[in-house]
Amino acid sequence: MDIVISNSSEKPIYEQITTQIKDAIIKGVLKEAEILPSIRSLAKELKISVITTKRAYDELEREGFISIVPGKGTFVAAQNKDLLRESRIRIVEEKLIEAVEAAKSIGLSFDELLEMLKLLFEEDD
Amino acid sequence: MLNLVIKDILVQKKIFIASILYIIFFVIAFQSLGMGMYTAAIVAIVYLMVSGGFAYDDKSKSDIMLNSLPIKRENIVMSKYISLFVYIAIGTIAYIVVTFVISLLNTPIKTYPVTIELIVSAVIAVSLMHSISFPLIFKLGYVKSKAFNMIFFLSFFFGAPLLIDFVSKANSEVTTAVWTFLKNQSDVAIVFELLVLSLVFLSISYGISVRLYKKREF
Amino acid sequence: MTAILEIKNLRKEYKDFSLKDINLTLEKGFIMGFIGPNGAGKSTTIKLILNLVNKDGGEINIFGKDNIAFEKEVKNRIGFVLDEGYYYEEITVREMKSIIAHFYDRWDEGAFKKYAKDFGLPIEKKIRELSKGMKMKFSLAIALSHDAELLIMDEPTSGLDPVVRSELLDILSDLMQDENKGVFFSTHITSDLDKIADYITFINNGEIIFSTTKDDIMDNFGVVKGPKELIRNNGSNGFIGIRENQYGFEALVQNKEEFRKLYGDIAVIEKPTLEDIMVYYTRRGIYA
Repeated sequence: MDIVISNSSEKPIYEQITTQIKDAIIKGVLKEAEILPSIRSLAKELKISVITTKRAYDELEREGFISIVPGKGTFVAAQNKDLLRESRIRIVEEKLIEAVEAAKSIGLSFDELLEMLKLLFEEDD
Repeated sequence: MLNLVIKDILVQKKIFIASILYIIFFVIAFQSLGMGMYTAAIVAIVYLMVSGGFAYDDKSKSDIMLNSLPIKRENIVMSKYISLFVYIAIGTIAYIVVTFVISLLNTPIKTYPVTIELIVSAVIAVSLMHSISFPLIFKLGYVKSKAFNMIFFLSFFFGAPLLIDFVSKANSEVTTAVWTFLKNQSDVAIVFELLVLSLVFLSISYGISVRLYKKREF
Repeated sequence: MTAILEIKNLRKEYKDFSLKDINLTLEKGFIMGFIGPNGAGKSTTIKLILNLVNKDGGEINIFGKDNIAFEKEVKNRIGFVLDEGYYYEEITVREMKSIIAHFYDRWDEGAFKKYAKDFGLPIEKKIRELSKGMKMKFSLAIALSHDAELLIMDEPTSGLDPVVRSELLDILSDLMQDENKGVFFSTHITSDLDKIADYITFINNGEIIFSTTKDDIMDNFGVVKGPKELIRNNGSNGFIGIRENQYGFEALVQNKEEFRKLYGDIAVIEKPTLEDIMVYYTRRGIYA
């Protein structure tokens, strides 16, 4: 599992961790019941505070992605892949609604919006 | 706590060689004192070694390190008092060695063997002297009390004979009473009483030193 | 859970400086950075913790025990690294170590040998022959060789090059894998703490300005830069350490989300470093 933290990003570090771990789980890079590093060894490897890693793990546990078993370790929880994917798709939908509303408010046409979307999609590659 | 005494000796590495050299010097310098040469030499050596130890502590500011370790301040103080006796022992051994060597060679230098009375006299002199200088050092630190202590040492050293002279010539009731008391005692008893007195002095001095050192800030 | 270090209402008065109402708590398992400009009172606080100076009021509890009533017991479980070694210069590293080792109940010679090897300590050299960095490593080796639970460090890295500083941080990271230990680290070189600290306590002029998690600070504080009119029109409330130049102003804010809502479109907001925070607070500007 690879986790890369950016200190200069606007996103809080714990969020960067939760996002990357969630992605890894959804994509299957992290498999069910796979063991994750302890909050302390993760903090040491990433050179960040243990409070940050604890916060990330707590949130991941709250959202059902991982389970922390005292004395044993932290494991990837059994995931309902479809539910997960659906919730992520919902997020994409929400963001698209935002983009559409913003576009309409300045009078951008559907085609112009589509063109922008195409460019942005290709940019990442 | 013994470690602190060892520490004082360890940091003054050349202490043993120095003591041999000091003794040679004092034996020659104090020829006129007769038996007193031993006592005078011991008092001088102990003063030098004690000062050396304190000077070292002061230079490296080791008080800060020592007081951050799990050591009671009482023990730091106690180690200095104990070191007095250790230095007396070292000086005495050096004296025995040096006088033995000198006696083998055929020189005009006169030496006197060590006796119990001489050792006790050295203990008394050292105790009295440092009973007064130690509390000052513990309160102010070595450097600040150096001037006073040096003057005190010198006056003690040279003034003691004068003091004894003065007392023996004085004529008050107290001195007469003391003299009568002393005349009725054997030498051994007198020496014993003086020893007890100086050890009492030393204990009082220790109590004061501890009180002062505990309040000290670094 | 007992705190590993707890300071309550600590006071110390000197002629022209005083420490007032110092309150801070460090739970075990965490590193607390103690930051502040020179002369702020960091060393005084640490000296009070180690009972090198006498307090004028307040309490200091270490492992739940009063630091003076249980002085020897508490100090046995503390490892310290001060800004200088205060060692005897004329003896060797080994001799100095032997003197010190005797005073700790739980001295671990094996651990010391390992650290000496890892750090490359020249055991047979005299203390005065060691570089500043080596002396600090020596202090650290000793501090880590008697099973200490609390590590107290007073400006351990001042005067050291970045490589040694980074090595120290790695060692502290390793140490913190044990959740029963704690580190109290005072420094004015805050870049050391930007990454590794869990909590940050900021002291200035003898007073604690804030004591909180580093995340809290990084997430909430912000360095803002914007047009001068912003200050003119809205007053300087809430801005810390304002500095104006020809083209605008810059300042620190405590709640960057709130600021963003009000002025996000005309000002720039950036993540602060601990150094920024220290500088803006101590700049003779306007406090909130």
